[in-house]
Amino acid sequence: MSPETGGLFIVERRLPPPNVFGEPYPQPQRQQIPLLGVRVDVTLQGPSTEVRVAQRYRNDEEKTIEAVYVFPLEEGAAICGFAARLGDRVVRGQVQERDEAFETYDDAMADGHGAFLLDQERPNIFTASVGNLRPGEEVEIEITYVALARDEGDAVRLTIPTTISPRYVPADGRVAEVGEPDGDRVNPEHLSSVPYGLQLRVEVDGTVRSVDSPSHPIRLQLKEGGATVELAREEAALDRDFVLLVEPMEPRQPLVRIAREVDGTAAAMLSFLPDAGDREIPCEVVFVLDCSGSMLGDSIAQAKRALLLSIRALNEGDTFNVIRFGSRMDKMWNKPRVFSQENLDEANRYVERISADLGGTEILNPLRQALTLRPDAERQRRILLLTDGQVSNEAAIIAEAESHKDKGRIFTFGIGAGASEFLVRELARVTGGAAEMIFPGERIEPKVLRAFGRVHQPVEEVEIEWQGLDVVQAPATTPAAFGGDRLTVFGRIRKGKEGAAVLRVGEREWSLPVVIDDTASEAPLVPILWARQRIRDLETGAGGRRGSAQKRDSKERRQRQEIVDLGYRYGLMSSATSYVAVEERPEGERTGDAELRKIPVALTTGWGGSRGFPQGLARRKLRTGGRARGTSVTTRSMIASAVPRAELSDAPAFAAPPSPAAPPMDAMLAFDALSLEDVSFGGAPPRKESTDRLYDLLLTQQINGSFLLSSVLENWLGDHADAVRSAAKKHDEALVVTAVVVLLLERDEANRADEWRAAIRKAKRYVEKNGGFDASGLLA
Amino acid sequence: MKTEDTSNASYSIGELAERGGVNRRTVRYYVQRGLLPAPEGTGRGSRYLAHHLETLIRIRELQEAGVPLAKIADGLNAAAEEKFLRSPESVSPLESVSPPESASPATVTTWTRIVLGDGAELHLRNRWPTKAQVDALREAIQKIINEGEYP
Repeated sequence: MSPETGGLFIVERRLPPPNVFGEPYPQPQRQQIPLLGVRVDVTLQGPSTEVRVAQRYRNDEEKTIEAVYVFPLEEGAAICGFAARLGDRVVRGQVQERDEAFETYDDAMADGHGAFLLDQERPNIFTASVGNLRPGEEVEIEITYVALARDEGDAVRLTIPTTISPRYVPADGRVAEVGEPDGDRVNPEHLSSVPYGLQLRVEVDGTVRSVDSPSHPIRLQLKEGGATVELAREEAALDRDFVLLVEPMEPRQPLVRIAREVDGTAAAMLSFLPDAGDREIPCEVVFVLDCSGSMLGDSIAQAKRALLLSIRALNEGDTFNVIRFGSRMDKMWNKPRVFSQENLDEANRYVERISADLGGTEILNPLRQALTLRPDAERQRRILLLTDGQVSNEAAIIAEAESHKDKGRIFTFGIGAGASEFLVRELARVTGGAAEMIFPGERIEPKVLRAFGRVHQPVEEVEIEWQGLDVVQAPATTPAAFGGDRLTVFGRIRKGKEGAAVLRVGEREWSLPVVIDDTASEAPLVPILWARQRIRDLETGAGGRRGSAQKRDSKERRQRQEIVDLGYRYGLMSSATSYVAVEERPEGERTGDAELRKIPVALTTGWGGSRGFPQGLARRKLRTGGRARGTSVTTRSMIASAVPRAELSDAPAFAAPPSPAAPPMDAMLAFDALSLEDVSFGGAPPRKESTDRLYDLLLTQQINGSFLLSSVLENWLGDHADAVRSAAKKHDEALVVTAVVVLLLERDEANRADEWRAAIRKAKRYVEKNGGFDASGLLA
Repeated sequence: MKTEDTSNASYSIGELAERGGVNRRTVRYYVQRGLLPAPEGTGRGSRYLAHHLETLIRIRELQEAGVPLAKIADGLNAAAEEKFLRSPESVSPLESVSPPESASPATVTTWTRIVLGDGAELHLRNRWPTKAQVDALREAIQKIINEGEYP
């Protein structure tokens, strides 16, 4: 059996997710949740971060329990430590092959010992199992990882994921699996809120220019040569990622870090900083917009905004089209069209009408379609994907994109308070594109500008030559180079002491010296990051990693074996290795069968419209929640945080179905097969709630850079509107109005200059080309 | 159906997993989910019997054929119930799960749902059309339904 099932669903009777109707998710009243809280300590030091995650569990029941917690970590995390603290005792974990680790854990459980297991389900989703927790007993599970810091413009962007949004499980992801279905493993039970919270502290090493969190109110303490960031509230809900942007005082530099492993082998981390070439090429840009149910609410509003801004960032000479998808897809035009005023207006109208009403998240088909269009002889193809990435078949999607990478680069915008960074970044990486993450409330314009700077760069041959050194490079394929973006690779140096690494991009090149002297320290950071990259290379190459051992072919088995070897050697978690720790208990203290307690997780804020309703009903209410500000806080775009969830139920509900008696897990699973698609919001008018006049004004810009009279402009002008109107009548309207807009933005929105600079540059060019106009008198 | 020598056999979880062609994690999962009955005894000394192995293999085969676990559970229960009703005293429900080849068609019914377009779907019982067939269907229906939806 097991037929090809593209687009087929196995029908089961399932309930729609309650939130679709405005029903709150079940409250956790009667449930004992053995997880007390999560504490995250981050050290941000130059190009890398070191993170310690502590999960505190306590068994308040009468019976012995086994607690299982599915949680996210940063997708680039190299997990290199696992321990269990019981009072003042520490039991350190060790890396074992995945099945072997389970057996160690299971044997320890059967023998009544304390047992602790950490498995990787995805590069960004993990499962912690805490076995034989006796009544009254408390344990702290400690996970440590290192990761590469990510640049965003001049700042470093730190992300601490906190929750896992419900993932869409495509039908063909469920065929021929043995054991726990893969999709279930990354879909824990969701509650509207959970009693355990997040504490967090970030130590920044190095003088900072600014610190900003789009996700949480923070408290900032500056000190000699560094800063400490904490949450303004002692504890935050684990329902949105923590995002921190740290801009260091020091300008960005190319970097070389050399370190030795215990056996003396050296490893290098090289970070090039190529500058932009000045060549921009015409492109065919296919925008692919995720309109699945999980995008409902905040995310779709943001995605549409990013899309409208993106279309405006096209150059004359580009062609474009929009594909929106859910369970099915819908194209704006049959073929891409040129970027003209007429087509821009039509696209605007099309995008305005869009809502997240297309059901499940079948990314595979639209991506394949966009990539396999007939190539345009004069333009290189670029795909711009806007999604929250909430799917469970990441591996299949990434493999598909990679197989078509010669047909077009994929640039991604990861949208929402809990977007799946793994999918969003990996899709871009394997196709030579780049990703930008957009947290709710974050300024989109600079991200769109950065993205389009990259989109218009030509595809060029990129390679790194290691001169005078014998090196295993990871990632093995040098990633695409974009002007102004860091390009970081690692090398394990098998032979050679002194040499250089040369990055070549087309005709241009940059060189970094690599010198291994005796002073190279034994710091584990660089070797560990090299090994993590190497493992990622092998994991991606291995394709479908599921299925029984017998079915893997020999190449895959060899790759898996290398992953296991690397895991053992560097103490690293991976798809093929797990961490396990056993607390040996004396004869009298052993326990019998433990009862399983799966830890529910909080639903991501704004997920599937759980905050922002289709018509914005609940949103207004929730925004009234208190905005806590810390004493010395400097954050700008705060989201009302930790709003009491109970308010959700006050929101005017749609015809609410009888409260589902099924366990929440079943309700959640409904998402993958039937539900969202069966629940129709058809006919709901698109939400028009933008209150940002700058954004609204920029959207009225014509493709030649000019502005015409508009209601947003006239409101903005207030008393001066009449003078401008009459001047526009007397002279050329476009010339007068464009000159006015330039002055207006420079006067009223100077602090958001990075959002309008590119648009106003075009506007100024238009004014100059048309003879110039002095509008200062009109605004006096 | 059962032979003498296997009916008295008993296995550790490792032995059961190996004979059933799965890993230990899968055995634990099936037990947790209630698909497979708990072993006899507790701790390291717990043993699985012949009927456990039989059920384990059955579940694995159905799963490999693409049947969702919820359906498999229904099937196991229905089969158990049917047998239980026939001879209420003699068989415990858990032992009576029939092997795949004798599965009554009423116990495992798989409906295939094909989304043909916005608000249009086709339900087929126990049939799995090929991708080409589905594409053809979908294309035809979509053409008719979506006509004029967007320029």
